[in-house]
Amino acid sequence: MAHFDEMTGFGDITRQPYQSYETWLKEVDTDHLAKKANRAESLFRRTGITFAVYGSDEVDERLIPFDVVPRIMSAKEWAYLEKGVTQRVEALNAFLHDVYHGQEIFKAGIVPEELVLNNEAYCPPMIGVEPPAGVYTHIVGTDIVCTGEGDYFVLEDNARTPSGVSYMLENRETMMQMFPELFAQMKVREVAHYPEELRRSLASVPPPVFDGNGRPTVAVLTPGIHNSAYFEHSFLADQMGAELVDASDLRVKNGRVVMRTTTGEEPIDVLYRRIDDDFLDPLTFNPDSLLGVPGIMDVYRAGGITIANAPGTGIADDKAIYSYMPEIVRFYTGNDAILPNVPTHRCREKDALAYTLDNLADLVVKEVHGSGGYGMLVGTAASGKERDDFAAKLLAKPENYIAQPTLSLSTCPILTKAGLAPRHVDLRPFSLVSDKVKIVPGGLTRVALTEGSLVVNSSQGGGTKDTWVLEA
Amino acid sequence: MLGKTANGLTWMARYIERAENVARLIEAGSRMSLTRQDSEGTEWSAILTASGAGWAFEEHHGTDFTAAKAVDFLMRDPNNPGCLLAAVEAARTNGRLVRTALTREVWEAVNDMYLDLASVLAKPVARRDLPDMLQNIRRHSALIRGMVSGTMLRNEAYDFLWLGTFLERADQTARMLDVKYYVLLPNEDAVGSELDLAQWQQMLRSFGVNRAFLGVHGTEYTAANMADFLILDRRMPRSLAYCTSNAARHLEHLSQTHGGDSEAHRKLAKIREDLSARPADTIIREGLHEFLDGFVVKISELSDTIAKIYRFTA
Amino acid sequence: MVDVSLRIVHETRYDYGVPMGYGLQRLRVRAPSGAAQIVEAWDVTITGGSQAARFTDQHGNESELYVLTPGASEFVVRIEGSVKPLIEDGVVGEHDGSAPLGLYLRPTPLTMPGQAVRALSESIGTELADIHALSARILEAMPFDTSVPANALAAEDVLQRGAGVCQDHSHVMIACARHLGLPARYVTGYLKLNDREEQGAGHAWAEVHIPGLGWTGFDVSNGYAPDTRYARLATGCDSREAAPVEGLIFGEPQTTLSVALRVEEAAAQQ
Repeated sequence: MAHFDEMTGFGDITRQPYQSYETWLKEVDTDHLAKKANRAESLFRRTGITFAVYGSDEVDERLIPFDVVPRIMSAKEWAYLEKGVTQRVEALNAFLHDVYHGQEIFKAGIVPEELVLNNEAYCPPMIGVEPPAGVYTHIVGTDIVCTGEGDYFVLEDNARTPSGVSYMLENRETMMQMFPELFAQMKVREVAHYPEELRRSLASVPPPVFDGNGRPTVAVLTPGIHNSAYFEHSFLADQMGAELVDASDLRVKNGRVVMRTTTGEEPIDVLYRRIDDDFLDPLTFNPDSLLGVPGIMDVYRAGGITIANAPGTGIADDKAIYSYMPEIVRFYTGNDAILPNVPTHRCREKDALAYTLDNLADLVVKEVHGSGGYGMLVGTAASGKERDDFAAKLLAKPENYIAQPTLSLSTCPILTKAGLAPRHVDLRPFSLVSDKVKIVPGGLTRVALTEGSLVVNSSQGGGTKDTWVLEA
Repeated sequence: MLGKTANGLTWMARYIERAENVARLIEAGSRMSLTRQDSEGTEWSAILTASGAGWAFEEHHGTDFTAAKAVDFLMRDPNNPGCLLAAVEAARTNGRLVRTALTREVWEAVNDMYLDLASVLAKPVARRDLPDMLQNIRRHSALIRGMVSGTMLRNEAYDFLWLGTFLERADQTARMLDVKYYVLLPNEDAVGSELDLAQWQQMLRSFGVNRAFLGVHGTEYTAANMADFLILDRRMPRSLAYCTSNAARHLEHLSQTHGGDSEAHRKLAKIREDLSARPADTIIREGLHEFLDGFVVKISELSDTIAKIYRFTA
Repeated sequence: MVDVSLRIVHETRYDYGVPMGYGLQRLRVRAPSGAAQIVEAWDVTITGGSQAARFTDQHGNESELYVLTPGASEFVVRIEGSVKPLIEDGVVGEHDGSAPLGLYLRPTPLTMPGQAVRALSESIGTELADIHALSARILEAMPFDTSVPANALAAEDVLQRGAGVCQDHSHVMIACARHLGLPARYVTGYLKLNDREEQGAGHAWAEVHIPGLGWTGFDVSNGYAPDTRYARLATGCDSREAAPVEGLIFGEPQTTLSVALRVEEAAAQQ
């Protein structure tokens, strides 16, 4: 099957956004690139952008592999994506407000009520709660794939605590150190202001208790130093000039959540939390959680703090809900979705299940609540036995699965030991929501490093690239 | 600033200082045993005691105090929780914890030290590589201090870093002096012997202040002069007086943001008073070992008080 | 019209034995006025804590969070009030409130149906009489027994154990009703027992949403339909969400819990 390549399209032409880059590439040899790649790796190690992998007794510190060949997009491509993602993110927030308030979408018969109310990601304590400024998802990561010239599909919405933005920023920082001449020559739009935008966005949604004097106090809540995304948590706190706190720093007092400082206790106005709902508050959610702040949900519901993203946003990125996104977008915005979904078969429906079982070899089947690329079957790559085993799981709990056609994801050249070679990529732009949706031009391009592989997740051998959006 | 952050900064600095001191101890041990081949074991046993690893060593290696075993134990043996590599790891873990309170350059210098040493200390250090290795450690820690001086705002974070550095250094100097005076010599008759002099010289050399001593006291390597130099001389950057007066300065800065003096200030003021109350020969007459022992205990109490008043933990 | 009120004096005392550090208590102790009852007077006095948050939760309960007073060694909730019950047959009526009715179909960890719950609900219909039959069937399968441990266990487990108190009976009723496709919820409150005024503890019962009738109460343990002897405090999907007092204490104090509860009939205020 011919894949669309970001650099060469379907044939031997060089696509317009890559033309200057290709000229430059002709002048350097792959040894030069390899040297730069080594240098980049040592820069990453030094900065400490590692994630911990816990083995049986040792902790291994790994880098997410970084590729030095950028993924380049034209201004026109970006404008289209920006419009489409903005529309989708607005619809997600409207959907969230609706499912926790009037539930118009059930009454209109667009999304089945029980699919939402019986969903583990639905958060009853959020019913009737009005989050500050009406924002549920302050940060959204939208996973997008491309299959041809202008043929983009949204693969997944990440509305809980999307990660990866630190890689977007550090990748750019590193590329600018490695290849200053390229940036001098090509007009690449900035991404470095993301942390400021994030801060501005968070500070613009203070809780009702905030008296309007001075600046709202923003803090980032991390599960702790052993979390695999700890680097990102500390990076964002650092870049925003916010405190990085864990549960042991916090407690509830006088209607506020306060942090223990050297001078006493200081109330937090906006908490950018990087722990899952379930662990957020042992008094309201999982009582065994040690990572959370007991009582924080009570303070939140009483208007004493803003939690970003709001609890309960997981219902919007649930894979069972995903398949309804085109209808959801139309229902809340009155317009057709600009960015299409990947056609999705809901295995909870009888016909869809039958179709899925008949066509397992051609489909990608995913767990509704899964993430990180786990619990999924890529039919084209699976053996007969793997497919049979999976079919049994599917039959046992069909409502747990959705199936999608195997998309012919676009490729982008990466530097391998044998020179440049194409590998499949996706794209995750990050949206910030306050009174408007703001998207920093670019995002995280994830790349499946194994030849032919379609799995881009870093936990399964994926790497990253810098993403360049050209000014014109 | 978060109490946890103050805790992490203090300990990051302490562990870096501790790593440097372990390196200096190893250096002193190597020099002493080089100058006297016949009883290598005594020096290494004393050095292990000074670093607080004496018992742990005997538990795992008995009394086989060879240079190779002692150096490896001090540097990297997982059975020694106080080994240099563990200190560097702990410094880096604390650094990660307080990353937001550090500049990028300070953090990278700390991380570099860890990455460098973790890779070099993955296997035992050959004796011929030891001098370079020890110098490298001193350079790393000096670089970190330099980055702190050159890039950090003069705020709470800065004060906690230096407070940690000086408390640790005072503690280490006191311990090392005690070991030299109390443990190293075979018997009282050896005081003033050639061996005694050589040991004092090596110790000064490992501190990098042998020339400075000459300038102040000439070649009079007496216990009283050493005590004067290492305890009371405010110009000597590892002396107890210097360390405590600098710690006091940073505690003073902190009190400006924290509304006045606290129990920690009073404790430190008392420690400094005790230091300046009598000349070196009086200290020696009254018992240097008891004096140093008492000092180490008081520094540890002061650390606890600081942790309490600045809410290091919940 | 009913012409009696229930006068309630209810004191819950946690004696920690030692001065406490940090700890939280969440209270749902504000009796609501509505279709089932009119609250005539209601006073809550708290000793040993300060209020940290107050809000109306998804079930309409007034929820309050208290932080223990540092150094205090006890926490006391004293409720004194008077309620005029309005119903005689357990039927509260149509659903209102911000939570969708469908929420009460959602299983919770304490009401997750298992084999025993499914077997018990076998061939039960969804009419009022069916649910009364279900109620009797539950009591038969697990007689009232105050010697069972007091901590909340899942419906499936207590049913298999074959004995329980009002909390367990209510959980099983809720699990069965939801399994039958009927919304169900947990209610905490008070019951004026016929033969006495001093009560050992508060009470709990289940409500099932029956087509045509709406919310209808079932006191499985006593075999009653809640009537003018019942006063309600809080509602939830299970006991965890409706508990009048729910605490989180750090450290391991030797806590002694003592409850003094008096429910008596009084002439109604006109």
